[in-house]
Amino acid sequence: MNPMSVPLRQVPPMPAAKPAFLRLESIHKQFGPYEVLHDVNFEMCKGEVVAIIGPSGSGKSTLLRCINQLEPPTRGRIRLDELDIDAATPLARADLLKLRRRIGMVFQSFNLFPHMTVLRNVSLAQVRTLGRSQREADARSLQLLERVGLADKAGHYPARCSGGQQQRIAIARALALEPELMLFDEPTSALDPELGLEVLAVMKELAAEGMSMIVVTHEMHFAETVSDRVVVMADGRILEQGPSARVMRQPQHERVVKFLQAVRDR
Amino acid sequence: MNDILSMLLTGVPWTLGVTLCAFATGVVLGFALCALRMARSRGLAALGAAIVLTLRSIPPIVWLFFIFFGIGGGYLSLSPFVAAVLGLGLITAAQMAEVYRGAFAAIPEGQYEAAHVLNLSPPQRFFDVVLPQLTRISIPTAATYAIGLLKDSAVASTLGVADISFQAYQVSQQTFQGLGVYSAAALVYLVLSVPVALASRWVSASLQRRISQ
Repeated sequence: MNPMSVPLRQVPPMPAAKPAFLRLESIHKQFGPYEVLHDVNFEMCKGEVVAIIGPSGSGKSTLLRCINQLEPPTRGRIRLDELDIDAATPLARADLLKLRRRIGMVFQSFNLFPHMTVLRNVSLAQVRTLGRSQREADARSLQLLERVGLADKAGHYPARCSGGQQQRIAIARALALEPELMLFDEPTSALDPELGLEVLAVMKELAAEGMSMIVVTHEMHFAETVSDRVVVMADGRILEQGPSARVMRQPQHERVVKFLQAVRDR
Repeated sequence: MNDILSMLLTGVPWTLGVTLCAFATGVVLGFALCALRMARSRGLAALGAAIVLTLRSIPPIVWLFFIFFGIGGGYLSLSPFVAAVLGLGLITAAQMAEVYRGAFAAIPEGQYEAAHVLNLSPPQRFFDVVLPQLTRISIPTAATYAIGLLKDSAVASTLGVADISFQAYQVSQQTFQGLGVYSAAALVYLVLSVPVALASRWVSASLQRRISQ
């Protein structure tokens, strides 16, 4: 299937109608004297696609990294279905593993393992954490690579792949653990626009298949057309959130109006 | 001349033995020392730094005499070979600890983050992700050091290890042909160094070729 011609999802689910799948309650994050996140509250339901936008340094990436505990929040609570993680109590390793087991993450700088073939990059965690046999894992990896249009790269090393290809491989690697929620941390910021498009096409496809996704992005078009909801952050706070068309076209908050204007004028 | 050379060549196994054993000791102990230096506890890290500084600041010959005549003289009975391997091995460990530390710093943070989000356990993170990259980064520096060690192993002759330098000294005393004997000895060291240099270059290049396939 040509990844460029993926249909957009038809009906955005209504956030209020379904029970929350992920819920962030009063998240604070402090780095030394700096408060990077200040009382962030957020929830999303299963199958929703949420774009987080905002100026640099607004805490978007930190918020994303708090969700899977790459940066444990200083205060606050994270609930993913029945899993309840409170920053006030020490995090049990079992809970951390359960949380990460259900969340996939894609980074701005891809972070593929350079010393492994593309196939092994995708298979490794299946063998190590899901206990699949190497053969099962490789078969599944090939399916996933097929899906992101890169089955022919299976035997190559990442250094021989373009940035766009590496990011698609990174998506396949994250999907290999069958996550229920995918976090994307500026997945196209390190790519030139053309290569960014291949990655966005794969993400659109994922969204159309009903994957729950949180995407920190500067791609306003993606935020408006693919995501169900847009969250705008600045200075470690959520300024505004709502259905993407509404937030992108009729923002309420003065700062958000200014930000979107600046982005459009660029 | 043939006699001189054949005498010198009897030292080759000893030179190679001291070099290889000391290098192996250093490669392994270097890890432990590097772990100590990078420990979260400030006290342990300071201890590690102090050990590295001490091992690197004292001349090899002083270390060897300290171990062989000092410790070996009164407390433990050590053969010259064991004392030489121990002394040079400890110095190598300090050097390798620094090489590893540099290599750790060269592995991007994103590699650890990717390993974390893929839920790899600490041993899996180390063996699957960190160690192969660490090895690749360390090989060229380690090989340069190994060549240096091959030459520095000559200091073992001062303890009576019958290596190339020891043989050269003996032969030159017997024949009074210092120039010829030591030229031949220099040649033997050179010939021994070349394969190490070539092997290191070959390994680095083939690792490089592999990841750019």
